[in-house]
Amino acid sequence: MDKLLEILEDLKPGVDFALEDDLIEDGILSSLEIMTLVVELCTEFGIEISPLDIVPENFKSAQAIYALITRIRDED
Amino acid sequence: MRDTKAKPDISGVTAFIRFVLFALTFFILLTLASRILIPKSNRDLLYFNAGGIFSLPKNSLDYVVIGNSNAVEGFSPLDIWNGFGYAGYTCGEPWQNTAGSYYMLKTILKTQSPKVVILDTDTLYERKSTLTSLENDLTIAVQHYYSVFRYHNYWKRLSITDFLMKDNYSWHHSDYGHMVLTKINAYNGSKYMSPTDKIQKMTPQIEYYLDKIVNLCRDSGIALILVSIPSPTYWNMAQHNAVTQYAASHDVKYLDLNLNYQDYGLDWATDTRDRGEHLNCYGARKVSLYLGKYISENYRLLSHAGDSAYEYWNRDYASYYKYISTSAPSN
Amino acid sequence: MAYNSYLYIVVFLGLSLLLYYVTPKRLRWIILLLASYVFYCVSSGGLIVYLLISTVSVYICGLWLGKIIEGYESAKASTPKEERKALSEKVTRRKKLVVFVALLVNFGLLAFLKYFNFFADNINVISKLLNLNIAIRSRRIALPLGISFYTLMAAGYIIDVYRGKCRADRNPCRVALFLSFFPHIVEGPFARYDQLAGQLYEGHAFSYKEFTFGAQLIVWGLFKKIVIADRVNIVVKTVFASPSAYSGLVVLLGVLLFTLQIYAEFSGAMDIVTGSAQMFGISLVKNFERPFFSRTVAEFWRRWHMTLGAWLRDFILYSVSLSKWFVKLSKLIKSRLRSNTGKIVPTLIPLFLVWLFCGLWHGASWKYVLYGMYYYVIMALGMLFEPLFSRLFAALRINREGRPYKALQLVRTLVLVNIGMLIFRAPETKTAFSMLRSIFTGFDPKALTNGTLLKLGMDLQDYFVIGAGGIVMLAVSLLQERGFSLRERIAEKNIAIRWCIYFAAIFAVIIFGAYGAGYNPVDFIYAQF
Repeated sequence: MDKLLEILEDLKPGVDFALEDDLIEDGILSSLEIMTLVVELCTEFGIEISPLDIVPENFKSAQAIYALITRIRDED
Repeated sequence: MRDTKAKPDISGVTAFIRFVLFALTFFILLTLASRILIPKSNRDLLYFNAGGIFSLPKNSLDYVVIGNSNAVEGFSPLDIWNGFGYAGYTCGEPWQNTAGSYYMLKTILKTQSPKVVILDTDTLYERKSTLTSLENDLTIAVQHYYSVFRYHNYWKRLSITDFLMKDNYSWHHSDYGHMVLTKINAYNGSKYMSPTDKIQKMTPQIEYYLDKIVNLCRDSGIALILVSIPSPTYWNMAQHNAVTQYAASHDVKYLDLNLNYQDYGLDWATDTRDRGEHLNCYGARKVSLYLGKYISENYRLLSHAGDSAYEYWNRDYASYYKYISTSAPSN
Repeated sequence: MAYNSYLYIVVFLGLSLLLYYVTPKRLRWIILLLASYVFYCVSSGGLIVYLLISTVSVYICGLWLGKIIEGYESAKASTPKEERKALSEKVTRRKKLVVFVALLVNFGLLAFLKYFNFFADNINVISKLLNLNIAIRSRRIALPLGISFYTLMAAGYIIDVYRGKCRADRNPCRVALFLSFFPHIVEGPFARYDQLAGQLYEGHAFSYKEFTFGAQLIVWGLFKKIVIADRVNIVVKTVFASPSAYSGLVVLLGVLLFTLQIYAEFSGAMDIVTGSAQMFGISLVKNFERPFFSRTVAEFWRRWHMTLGAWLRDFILYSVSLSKWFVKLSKLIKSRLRSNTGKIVPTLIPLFLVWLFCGLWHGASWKYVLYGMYYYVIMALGMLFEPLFSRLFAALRINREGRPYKALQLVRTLVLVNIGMLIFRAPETKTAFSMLRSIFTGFDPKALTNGTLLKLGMDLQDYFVIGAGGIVMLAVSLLQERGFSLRERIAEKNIAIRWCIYFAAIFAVIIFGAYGAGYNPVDFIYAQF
């Protein structure tokens, strides 16, 4: 989780990702930033993210993103 | 997705009644708009000078010619008047097709009852795709019944008096629809109409409307003559064959003036204005006299020569004759 | 058959609706399929063969994929955990092969029919430069109606099956209907299989509300197309045909009017087709969301031709940036380039492909490539300089959420988009550049007073109609921007007011439409892609 927050902080400085709970609706993350983030997650966590997982629900908060990472890891 | 609970759907009967009422109101408004948004002067009605027909006394015409530019430029009612005493009018529209001819005839029959109708066969061949000509035919029909679709751009010239819906059909066209052109540009091309067995069929839509014209004439007691006004550019033997076949099977007269143009003295060196597409007034004169002779020999039409009610024809002929005999040919 | 023709509105749509609702519900899809095929044949004749090839290929490949997936699901349970990964990899390889075959057939046809001459010309140029003796003769190829649209939808279906977003359809008719559905085959919106195929296939009961709302939407679309777009078309044509004949101000007017034209026309077409579908009880996805209220170019593309953007994102951006080789590549880049740039470069590569594809999709010429690259460069620069900007604005204490800044952003986006439109419409790239130059250098205000504006094909009354129509469009957009549903609100009014509004709209189209004598019918711009 800390690693994730670090990545998010790097991507978009000045946002308190631990607290924000609607990153997409509030327009904090654009689709291109999400793309950058996804690629980042793939390389940092060594996981494979399917296009089907790129839906707003999975990226609306740091918790949701973390949940996604854990789920993919467990599936492997 | 959509908010469906705001208003429950109404019952089928109510919906049906509403549709009917809506449609009814719509058509009433369309009719009204068609009366208001239409040029009140006959000068601006129809194309070329066809609107001039509305200024003539009711049922005063013996024959009418329907067609496109070939007819409008290649046929002179005043020469027939001078030679045979028949009164007629050339009603043409640019690129008119058979659907256009049909609705033109219907429009004419509202105020005139000609004994003979001459249809220019150039309207039987369109250079268009099926889809375009289908849309075209539909447009013509819609415009015929609700003229607002044709004249809607008239809103730009609309004035208060238009709402009185009073027509002023006093504009008189002194050449009776004929576009008198003195230009000469000789046709030097090869001989055309060389014999062939080929048949260039008309499209089903064209034939559909041609059938309607044939039937309309039959029902109104009108003799229909299909005429090919000479044009090396637009006419050929394969088309001739198709029309011949149609005329034979539908018991309609067909005259192809391309075949025997030497007989009535047509000269491609002097009688065309644009190298064989259209005739000029000199060509029109020859064609008209020939056709007048044909009509006088085959149909019993009454000559109005000397009839005082037709005196204005003599005046118009005099000024027409003066014009063509004094204007120098141009190119 | 154009959506604004009498043939479509009066005959085709009317008859299809009638037949649809008199047929038993269970069989209503047959009417839709028949209507769609009739629509296609009337418009494109024998070229329907290509649509059929696409349909059959996608259907079979879909089934094939479905079989592989099913086989895997049942084999998975009986496979020990250690071997599962190997099995999954083997299955993925086979799945990829099938997708490859399907895409090869569909994009192969598209490439041949639409891009053959473009490839041939370029190969000829190269071989000339290299003194090779290769020359490919260009051919006249008739393009099947909507091929750029249905090909992408077909590919979308296959990839969605591959990814597991939707199941392979056993019913060939449903696939055929999905691809050929007449409201969306000519110019979209791009539909996704899981969203639309079921809707098309199930019979919809007649709903007064859907029916009337659909009809209202059609009238609104016709208004935008016939009253606005077709009227300015004459001026746009005149200016773009010989831009060098006009001063910068007139060129600018031409460009602005073209932007208005293409928006009114494309969004109008979407309203007509969405309205048509709604009359059958079918809802199509939105393709426009008031794009000119966008603050950035990226936002503009999320709100303009939205379904194309979504397609490019889902099937090109995701496919590339989530692929294994690409993740490896980004790792490599990141290890070389530190800081922000290292993170952005892995996004810039797939983005490049997206915009290249987007440009070429619009047409087979370098002009459209330039059009795509124009937007790519804007976006890339925006991303690269964002950290710099945010520091700059922070230092200058400029509030980026403040109204003045937002307004500035709107204008900036508008300017950038209009330049894009200029590139898009100019007959050649060379002309585009000279037009741009003339806007910025040859600005001569005399054109406003010396009557040039009235010699371009619109008289004073036409400008008045455009002004009034533009205000109506703007007002509607502003209301929608505030979440105001116009049709709902009108429906709440009493019947007299309601009908007055409806008839006013219908007669505005009939009377003020730029059609008939003096106007040539204008083909929809997007129907030519």
